[in-house]
Amino acid sequence: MPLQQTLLKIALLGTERQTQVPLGNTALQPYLAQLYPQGQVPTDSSRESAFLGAAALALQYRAAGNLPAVFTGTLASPDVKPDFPLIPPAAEMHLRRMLADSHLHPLLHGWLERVAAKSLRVPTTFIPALMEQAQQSRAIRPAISAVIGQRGHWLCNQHPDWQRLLTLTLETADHDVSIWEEGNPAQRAEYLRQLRPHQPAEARELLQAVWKQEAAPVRQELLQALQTNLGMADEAWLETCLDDRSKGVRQLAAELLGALPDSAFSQRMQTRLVHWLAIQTKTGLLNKLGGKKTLQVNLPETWDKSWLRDGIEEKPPQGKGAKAWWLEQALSFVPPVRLAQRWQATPDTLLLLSCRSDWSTTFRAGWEQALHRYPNTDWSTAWFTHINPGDNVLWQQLSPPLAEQTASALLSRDDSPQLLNLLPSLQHPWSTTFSRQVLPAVAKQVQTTLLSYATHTVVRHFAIHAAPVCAEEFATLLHEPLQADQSNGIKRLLTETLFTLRFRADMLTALENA
Amino acid sequence: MTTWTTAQVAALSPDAASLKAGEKLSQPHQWQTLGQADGVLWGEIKGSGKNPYQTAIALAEPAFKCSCPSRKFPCKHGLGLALVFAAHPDKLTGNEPPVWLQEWLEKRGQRAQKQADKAAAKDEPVDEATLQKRAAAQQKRNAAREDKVNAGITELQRWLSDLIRQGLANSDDNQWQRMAARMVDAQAPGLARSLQNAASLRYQGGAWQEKLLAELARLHLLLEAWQRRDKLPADVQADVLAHIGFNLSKDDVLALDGITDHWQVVGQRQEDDGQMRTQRTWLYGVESQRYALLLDFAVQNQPMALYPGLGGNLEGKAIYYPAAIPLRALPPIPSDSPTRGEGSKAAAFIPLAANFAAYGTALGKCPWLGYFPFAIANAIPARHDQQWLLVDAEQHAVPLRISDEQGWILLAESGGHPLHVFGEWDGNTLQVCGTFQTNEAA
Repeated sequence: MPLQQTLLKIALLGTERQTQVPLGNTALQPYLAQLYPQGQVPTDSSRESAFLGAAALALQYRAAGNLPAVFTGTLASPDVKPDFPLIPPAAEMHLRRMLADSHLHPLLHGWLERVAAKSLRVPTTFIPALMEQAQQSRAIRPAISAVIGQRGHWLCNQHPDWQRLLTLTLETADHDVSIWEEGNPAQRAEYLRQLRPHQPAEARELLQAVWKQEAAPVRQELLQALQTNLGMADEAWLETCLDDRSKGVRQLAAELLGALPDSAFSQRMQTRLVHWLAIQTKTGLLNKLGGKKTLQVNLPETWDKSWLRDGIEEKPPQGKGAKAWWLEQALSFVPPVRLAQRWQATPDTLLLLSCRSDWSTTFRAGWEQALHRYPNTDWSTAWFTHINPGDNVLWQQLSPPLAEQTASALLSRDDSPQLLNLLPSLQHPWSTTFSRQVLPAVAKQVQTTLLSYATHTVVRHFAIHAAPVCAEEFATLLHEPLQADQSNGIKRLLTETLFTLRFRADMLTALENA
Repeated sequence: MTTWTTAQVAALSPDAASLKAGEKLSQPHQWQTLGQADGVLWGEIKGSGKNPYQTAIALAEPAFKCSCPSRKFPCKHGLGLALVFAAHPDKLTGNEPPVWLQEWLEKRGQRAQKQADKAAAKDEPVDEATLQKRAAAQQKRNAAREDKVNAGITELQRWLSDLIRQGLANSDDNQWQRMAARMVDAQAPGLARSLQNAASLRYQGGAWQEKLLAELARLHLLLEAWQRRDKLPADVQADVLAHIGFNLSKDDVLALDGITDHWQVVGQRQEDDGQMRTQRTWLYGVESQRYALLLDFAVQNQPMALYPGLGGNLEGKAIYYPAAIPLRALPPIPSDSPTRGEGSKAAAFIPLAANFAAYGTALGKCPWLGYFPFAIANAIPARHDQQWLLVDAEQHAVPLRISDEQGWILLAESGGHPLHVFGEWDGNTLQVCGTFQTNEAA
């Protein structure tokens, strides 16, 4: 038994049970012999001392002769391409703060996009923290992929979890078909998305070719690409997708077909709705003269199996009636603008009629989903006015100038403070004009009401989205509460807001000068 | 011209909260005045008090000053000013040092003078009778302590014998803790630490039995050496005393000879055990080609000594604590005869095998070596079987003691290209304390 093992065994069992003298190699043996004269284990108290001496000798001897291990794995080949320039030091600090401070965190995405637009990269020390962000949010991945530089891409390729988070950068996106064949799912989806606007047919054919071998979630993800440049050329294939095994894929195919006015699907769905719904002038002479109308609902008693293929399920979720459920689903696959055309009614009229109907909840639910699927500016505006000014998805569908125009019209129509709550739906960087326009309303809100959660949200949102040039106007307008002696919630909120606005100004300057 | 990076400033921060507060003050327009001249920065910023706080930094040492009431050091204003300097050096436009700054600089000058005077005074002759009296008193104190330590060591040896007679498999945790406490009473804190260290090995898994035996064997050697200390060379005696827990006073060390050199900071690391923060700063003398370890401790809010960051320079005479392998030293004292600073820290970085050889030699001179400086040339980080490694040009590898995130950062820094790496080797794993690009002008 080698010396180390003998010693370890004795140590664990105790020298009480030691029978043998430990023996070492030729180099060690003379010294061991000094500890164990005549090759005997001492019987008196020097036994333990002799053992510890031997252990010290052997272990030190080995430690001193320790050699480095020989590496048998393979090292990754080093990266080769020259990298693009780093962000300036001031920007580095902004990044550190955005990652560390929850109030500034919402700025991160926009900042990364700016850095990407400037073709700058972040220092490598930030890469692990940024990949952590990429794990949590899909939307931020393209921006992160763009700013970590080729060193970052090299690093992520060494990390199994990070590799699949990378999206395409501008240089790799150049129709390199190997990405479609070898890329990670996110990269392939993006490849298809980028190909589709230019070569819609080719994109569809690529997808058709792999369709059978992909799992349902991947098929669904890839099929999204067809939303761009959708045309009648896609109809035939989408129609076959209505028979897909996956419900998600069937729903998506139905949604896409609904967007094609001339598709057989759209025709079927509209015919259904025309049978189920009608606008009638109210009975009674006065009503007839005044042109008062109602939205009539006349639904079949039984569910038709043929509807299932068009996405209308039979069994309602809990809390909904079966008939209402059929109507809601049918409404959700027809762009509301098409019904309005058919009935020659404005969105305002239809929404008002629907509100007065016994089926108002169903109309609301069906149209809400339809509007999310099939954006239409007139309908969105009417929806904000009559139904819900805070529908986040609808706001995102408007271009920033149109969103600001719509919001300022709403805000001036009614000065009820509740309407300020729509501001958090405006998630683009606000123009200076718009920021200046809402600033007094926000200031008034802070000064006249008790600090509520809603106010907190609005003011924080203002800090993140208002044009940073407003910082000084903000400071002037709210000079008093900002300078207040006591430290209270409002003062803290305003100080924070002012800090954020100035931080953003500073952040922009740092990148502009880069 | 000195420049600081935001990462260097972050390293100077006493804690994360201070840095966060400092970053909030890092926008130039928040400062009422900002200026720099002759290696000193200053600024004034409005705080909660009536008058603006006056903040200044002497870059060379570095040293901070602020008129705010914070007990943190450096305070958030100091960090904020340092960050302005790191990110917007062009915004420190003032060049006429204000009156308060001149006062501070003068006071610092006076303090340095006072210290020099005090040092000079120590060398002044005292009359023979006083000297004898002092020596006698010291001897009496020493003898009393030695008795206590002797008694403690006898007890520890008996305990160790019992332990090894019954076998390590049978020992229970309480008896280790009791013995450690006993060593504190016996005024042998070094032995208490080594017992606690050994006890904690039992919970670390891996080859703990072997590590525990090695630790006990080293302890046995130390106790034996104590009994025979008179026969040992002076530097080994110093090691024995140090490991048992006899601390040399700073004054005693200052009385020893030192090495005047051009010292470069090659490694830095901080530890925080919840009660005490420890800062380890490794220097390399480019002429003497020797390493010096500066150890600093701070409790809670206590300020930590500040040194230049990684790659920075310190000039002067470093005095080593006596040891067979002298490593720990006092911070270099600037001297009037500056060194030429010829040589380069690049020379320090050698292949892994050479580092291991140096460690083996050192272990032969002192079996109780703790952390040993490794400067590895052309090392590439790699992750292999869930373990972070450094692989050198000869395909030799060393395992790293590193968090996964730090490992990825290290790999990002290298990009698969070799780096010069400085670290502390504990006999089993390496802790990275500093990395340098191989093409960096050293």
